Amino acid sequence: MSQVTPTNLKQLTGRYLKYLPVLLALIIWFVLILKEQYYLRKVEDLSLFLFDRQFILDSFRNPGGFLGLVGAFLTQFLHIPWLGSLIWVALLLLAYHITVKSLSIPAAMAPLAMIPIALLVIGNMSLGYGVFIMREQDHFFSPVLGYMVSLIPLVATRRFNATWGKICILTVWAIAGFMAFGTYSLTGVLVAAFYTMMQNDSPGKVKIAMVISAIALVIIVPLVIYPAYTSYRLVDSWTAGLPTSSEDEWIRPVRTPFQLALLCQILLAWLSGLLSRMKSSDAKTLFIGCSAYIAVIAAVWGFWFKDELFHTELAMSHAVDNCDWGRTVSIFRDAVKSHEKSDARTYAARTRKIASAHSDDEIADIVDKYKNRFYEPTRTMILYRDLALLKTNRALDESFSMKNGSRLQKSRTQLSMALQSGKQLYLHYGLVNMCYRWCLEDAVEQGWSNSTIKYITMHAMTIGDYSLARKSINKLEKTLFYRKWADSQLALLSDTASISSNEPYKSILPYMCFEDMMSNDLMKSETFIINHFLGPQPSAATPEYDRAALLFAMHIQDIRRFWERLLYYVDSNDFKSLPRSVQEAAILYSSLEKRNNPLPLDDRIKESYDAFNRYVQSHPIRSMKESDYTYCQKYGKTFYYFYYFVRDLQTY
Amino acid sequence: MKHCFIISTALAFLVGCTGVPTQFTRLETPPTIFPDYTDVVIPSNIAPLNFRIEEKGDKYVTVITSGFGKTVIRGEKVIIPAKKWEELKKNGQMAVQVYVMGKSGWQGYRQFTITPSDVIDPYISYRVIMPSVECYERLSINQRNLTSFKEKVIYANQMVQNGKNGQCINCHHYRNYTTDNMQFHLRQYLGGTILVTDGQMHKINLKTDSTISAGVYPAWHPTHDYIAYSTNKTHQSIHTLDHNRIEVADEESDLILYDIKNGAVSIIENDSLKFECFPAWSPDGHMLYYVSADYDSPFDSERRDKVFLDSREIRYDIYRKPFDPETRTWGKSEPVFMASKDKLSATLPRVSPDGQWLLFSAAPYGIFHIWHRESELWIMNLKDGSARCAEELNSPEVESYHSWSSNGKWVLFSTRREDGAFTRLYLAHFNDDGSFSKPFALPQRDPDFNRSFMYSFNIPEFMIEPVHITPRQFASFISSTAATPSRYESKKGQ
Repeated sequence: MSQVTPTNLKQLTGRYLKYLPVLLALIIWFVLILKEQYYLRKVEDLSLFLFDRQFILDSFRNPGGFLGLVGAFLTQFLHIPWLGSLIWVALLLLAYHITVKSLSIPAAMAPLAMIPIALLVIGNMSLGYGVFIMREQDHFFSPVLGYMVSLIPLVATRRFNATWGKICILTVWAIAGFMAFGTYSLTGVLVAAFYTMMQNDSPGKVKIAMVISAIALVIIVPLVIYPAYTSYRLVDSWTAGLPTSSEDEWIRPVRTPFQLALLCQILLAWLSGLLSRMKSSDAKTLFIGCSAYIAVIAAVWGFWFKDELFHTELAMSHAVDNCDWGRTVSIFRDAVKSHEKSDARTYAARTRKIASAHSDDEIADIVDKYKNRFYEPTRTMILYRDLALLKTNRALDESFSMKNGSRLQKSRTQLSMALQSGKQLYLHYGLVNMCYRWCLEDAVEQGWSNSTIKYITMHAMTIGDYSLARKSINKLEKTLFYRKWADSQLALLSDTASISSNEPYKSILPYMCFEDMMSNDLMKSETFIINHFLGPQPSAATPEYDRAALLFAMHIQDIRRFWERLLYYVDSNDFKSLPRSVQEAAILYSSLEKRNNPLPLDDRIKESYDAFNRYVQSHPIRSMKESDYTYCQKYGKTFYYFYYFVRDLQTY
Repeated sequence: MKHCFIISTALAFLVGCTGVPTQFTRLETPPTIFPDYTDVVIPSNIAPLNFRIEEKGDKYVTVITSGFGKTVIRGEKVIIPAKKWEELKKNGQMAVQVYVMGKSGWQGYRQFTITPSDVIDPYISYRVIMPSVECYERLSINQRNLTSFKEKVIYANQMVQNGKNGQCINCHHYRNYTTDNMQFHLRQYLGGTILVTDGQMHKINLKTDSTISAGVYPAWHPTHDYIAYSTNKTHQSIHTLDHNRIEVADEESDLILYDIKNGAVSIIENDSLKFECFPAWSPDGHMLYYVSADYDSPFDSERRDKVFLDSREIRYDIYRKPFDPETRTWGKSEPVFMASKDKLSATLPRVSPDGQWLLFSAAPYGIFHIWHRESELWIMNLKDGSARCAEELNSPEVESYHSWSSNGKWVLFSTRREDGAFTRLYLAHFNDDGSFSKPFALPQRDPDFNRSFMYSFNIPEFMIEPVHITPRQFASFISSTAATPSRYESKKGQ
């Protein structure tokens, strides 16, 4: 057995460090496949690449258009998450490798090249709700492609000894590259210049000429090229090609990681001379390498948007898109269930704190502090869940037996539901013109996407606007992964009578029984949907419509509207006995109004209500927030609990 | 099989040495092509009418013959070379023969004709816009050379706007088809009306304390330095189920006159019981045509909602008002076409350059007919007062904004006939007897363009020359210049 000495320990560590980037890439790939598949699908859903002349030409309307085109082309592979993420991870590895090689970074210092790569990862994976308002549809792939592209001038200039040759290359690159790759080409010019400047073998004159030329090119080229375009402001020239958002508040956070990655690249070029002189066996070098890895892993982990509610919403959205109503509900149920233990721990911790509290104010503070630690679904999740329950005629039995709430997004700004899930919810709740409206608004703000074209198709199919449906289908026929769906819609178009018997139309059309009205949602989708269903009763209301209307009347806890909608519901629906939650609401509301309940109720409902009242008397409520958990454990599946404890819901 | 056919007999070559089939089944119907250019009358200076053959087949041959000239084009996309096109047009009427190789061999469709006629103004301009409701991230006013496929941006909002500082651009308009005197509006960011007079740019704020808004729909006086505008408080609403999807209505609207030299705004019409809109001058500048609808509702906070509730009952009639440009005085308004009597709402009156004809849009109600599928173009003979729906121009979908060419021989109009959602531009020849020839789509280099382009073209206007000010000059001026306030003058005349 060989003896471990400090020297061979360093060698061993160095050898393993060499493979660490591959290992990290593999880990990232696995995480993406296991945890981020719906996020990746959403990125792809909100992007578009068409094998179409017009689409390709339109891509070149901004500097960086070619990069965007390639980025959009690759983004479509995220439709198969393992494949798209594999391509992305492979590109990250390649970017790392090219950085090390082109900047001649010694193996021991190579971990430093992981820093810009980590920033590229952070840029994509910290986005969260920002994904819904990204303006460039290539934003997932373009940064890594652009990062690699910006090393091209360095590789090219290293092949030339003559100063004029290097400067010529930089000039040609800056002009052509700016149009094709935007700001990444300008970064490349700086990287090449700074690298030359820091090389000992370069004469001083060459260094000065290169740096001055590079700075001049970076300033002048965008100014010269600007008049050829009419699609951006001059001040935006130096950020052309970088991802951006349609919302002001998001632009800086979205861009910063990518800008830092490019800055790191320039810094590495600047430090290249110093790095090349560092000895690989030096403990200091090893320390820097290890530190870089630790920092990279910590930063990626820290900035990765891991919010569970966001991921649950994405998974539910995907299931809704597939009209997989059972799965939509089970995702919701699983998400709630997975927090039961942590909720119990939170409750135990809170109880301990309360036990040691000295005043009511202190208790109230503790209750407030712990409020957000209990699991609570978002409104988007609730609407998805109720949609699925309504489509399967289970809503009035089950909606109030599941967790309700209105946890706000963990996001820089509360993104309006209209921008996130508006199109989808409107379509499936039968408000197809509102779906169309948000498709168009999204297309204006973020550009056309697979998602908007698909929804426009479905909107057009439901209202019988077949020429528009055909146009949209023709678009999707030019995609790689939506062709099949487009073909299925074409088949329906060839036999329009069959539309009403196929999903999603089969389950949307019954909701479209209302009379036309003029209205505007003012970006409040949930409020609009509720007001719509609780508006004037359609003369040809369907059982499905009346079920939804009754559900929303119960959700807003409006007693008068409950009775009103219940009458319509009873009138249009066939049932052996009233759904459980409806009975619970009826007995509760009758009691609150101090009148006899007019409906036939199951004995078990009466018993449950009596038991609830006894429990209230034996468990006095100091504050609703404080008693919430215990009551939820005991009566969380009843409408009584919902009525008393689920209050002040917020929508967005 | 939908076509009747006769088997032609020939034993010679299956396909001649030029690639043109000599043995084929002769069909008695013309081929289905997109855009539909069958049997159309076209301007003698128009760009090639490229089209796609929509018949199923393995091979396609198109033979275009005119005079002694002949061109053979293979493939389902018929892209006619510009030089050949010019030669063909010179020789008069073109006959187009399409052959398609199907499973049963070559089929020869009935020939159709393309007939060159009067020249057309060489330029048009339009706004390129997504048919959206409130967002306007990407808007531009573009000019297109009709004799070729060249299209250029006149001005685009993306050149100045950023993030929350969005800018809407609209209502480009030219005086007598020339571009040295033109205007367009900017709303919100850096807002104002960009007025170009004799090639010089100005930025004006047409809103005064005495008017309800800045100028909206413009009509530049043909001989004097006046521009008539409507002023509108316009709102949009969404139809929750109707196939028209969006409704646009005015809460208030009046007419004003802007005196360019004096920088003064005066009222033309501001009856509180009426909505007035869409001014248009007669060619001699002595008559202002406009539309007006009766509406009686209190000016309170509920008026806006009430307008939408009542929108199906709001109908506009066409009026005209005499004007003396020398003294800037107005005569009494008189009705021209009482559309409301026929349960119609007439908008966008445009008088032909010879002053004899009035082209307008009509739909069952409302003002903003681009969102009304029932909207159709109507033509009225101003000499005898007869009006008719121009059936030959219309389709089941929207026909709306329209312009006369400077020689009065062509009309350019917007329509959603292709897909019901995206506005496209169509041209039609206006015949001496007051009828129109078959309308046809503005030719595009790629015949699939209209199908794949996901933007609308609106406000099509003819121009006899291109706009000479560059987009950069506009952008720079807009960014650096504050709008000059206009002065309110009390009304003259009646």
